[in-house]
Amino acid sequence: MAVIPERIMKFSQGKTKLYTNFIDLFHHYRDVNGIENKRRHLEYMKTKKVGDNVQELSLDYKEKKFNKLLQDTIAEYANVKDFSSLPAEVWATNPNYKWATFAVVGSLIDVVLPETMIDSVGLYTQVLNGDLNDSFAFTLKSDDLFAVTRAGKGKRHTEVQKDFAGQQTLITYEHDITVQASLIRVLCGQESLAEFTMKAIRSIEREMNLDVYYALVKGLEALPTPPTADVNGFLRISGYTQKAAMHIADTVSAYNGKPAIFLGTREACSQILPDNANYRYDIDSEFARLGYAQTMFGTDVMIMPQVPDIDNKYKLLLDPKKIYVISPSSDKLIKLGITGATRPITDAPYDNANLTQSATFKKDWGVGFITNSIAGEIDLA
Amino acid sequence: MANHAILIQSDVLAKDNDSLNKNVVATVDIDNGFIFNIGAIATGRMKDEEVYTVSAPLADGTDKLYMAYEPELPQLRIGDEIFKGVDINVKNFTNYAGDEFTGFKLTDGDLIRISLDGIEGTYGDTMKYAIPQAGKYNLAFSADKPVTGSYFEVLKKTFISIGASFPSTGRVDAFKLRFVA
Repeated sequence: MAVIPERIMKFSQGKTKLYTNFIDLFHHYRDVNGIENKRRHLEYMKTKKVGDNVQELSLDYKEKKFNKLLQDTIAEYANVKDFSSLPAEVWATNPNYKWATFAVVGSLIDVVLPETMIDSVGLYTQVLNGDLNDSFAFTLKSDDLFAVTRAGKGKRHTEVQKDFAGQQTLITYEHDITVQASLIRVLCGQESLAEFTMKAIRSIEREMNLDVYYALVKGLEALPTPPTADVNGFLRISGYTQKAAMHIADTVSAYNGKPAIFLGTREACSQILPDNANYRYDIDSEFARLGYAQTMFGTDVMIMPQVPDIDNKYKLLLDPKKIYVISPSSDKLIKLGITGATRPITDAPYDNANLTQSATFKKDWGVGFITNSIAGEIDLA
Repeated sequence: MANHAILIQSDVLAKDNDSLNKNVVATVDIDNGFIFNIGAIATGRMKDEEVYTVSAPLADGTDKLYMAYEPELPQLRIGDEIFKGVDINVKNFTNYAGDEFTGFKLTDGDLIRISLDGIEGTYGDTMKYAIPQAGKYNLAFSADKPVTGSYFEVLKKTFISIGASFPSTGRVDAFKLRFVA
């Protein structure tokens, strides 16, 4: 069940149908397109009751219904009574219509963006929503316990002990992206501002994902590696061994009080194997089918989907030589704060002397490695 | 910004005796765990009979030492603006000049735990004592006890726990001290 941010509730004056339908459509789309999610079930409506019959709901049907709802909502905000009275390209130059379109689309992005982030990095990231210019403060309790002393029987109090809560703050930064289309190329059907806009939104999602990932990498880089083969007391090892991997998983589970998992790219996770060279897997085995074992030594193995490195074609961004050991059900390692709504600024078709049309999206977010949990790292050779 | 000292009154006589706890005011910022002599009654105050001025320890060892200990409620100060309840980090707490705070009279045998930020100098195994410094409010590590006057014995190097984000343990270096008068 998706959570609709408070500011969207205010914007929509409590009318949530557009957003719940959009999330339903979004989950349906992901399911149909094979974007699987092992962590949580993709919930969406598959059927609806019409009288005594049960009607199946296809993605196509839902899309048409949603587009109609979207048009109606935009028309309502733009104060347009009869949308069919003029052609769409004429309405496109109406300032009210244009404002309403981007305001409603922006609010849809704000609803679905946290959802996509939870799907991609939710195992180790908590997504928080705030108002524009908000900052986030986290109270961190000490995980130390008090010392217990043996004592005589004639004394009321022993020596006083106490500890203190700490605090860590997270602020957000503005992130901008501007796309531009040439009017003549738009009219000739060679460019589309809408297409650039969709790409801009995907770019924002990707950038957030990378911020989160690099915060995880940087946070765990601070862990020292043991100087000898003895890993006792350490949470990071250089070079995989079965014994050390199990030791770190045990440590993370014990201190967090929640089960640990191994997390890495498919390439990295394929190396989590028993030390004994006599192990066997046949062609039907989980390892041969998936490229990794879903459970190893009683610890679940989860895959981080790789991310393409757009600056270096055909290279990948996530380090395939790192396996993280985390407890997803304890306090998340990374906090992602998103403040304010997505703020779109768009030109009208004839605003610019050079007949171009630009759209800028402004989005504020910040990422921090802030947690009460512990985690480990295995650096593969 | 440098951290301020943190104090835990492990076992002190002032815990059981009202008269050993005094309301004081200083002309400089005083961290918990700083030491001072109590002077004249502060003037120009509504409750002037109950608030005393303080002065730094003397060189001749004749001090009747009190130690600052005020419940830690950090303030956020930006220019002339003061905000309370925003920051909870005890490492940011100090008793600001001009604000009333509590000092307790140190008594022979008192046990305290104080963070490293409250003691001047570099700690090493030879540093067996934390001694008053003439004209200064904080203690200093010393290999020797002072010729005259009171001082603290360093009983143990330990820590004070403050919640912190992993991978920090949140443990702040601290020392268990025993007062000798």
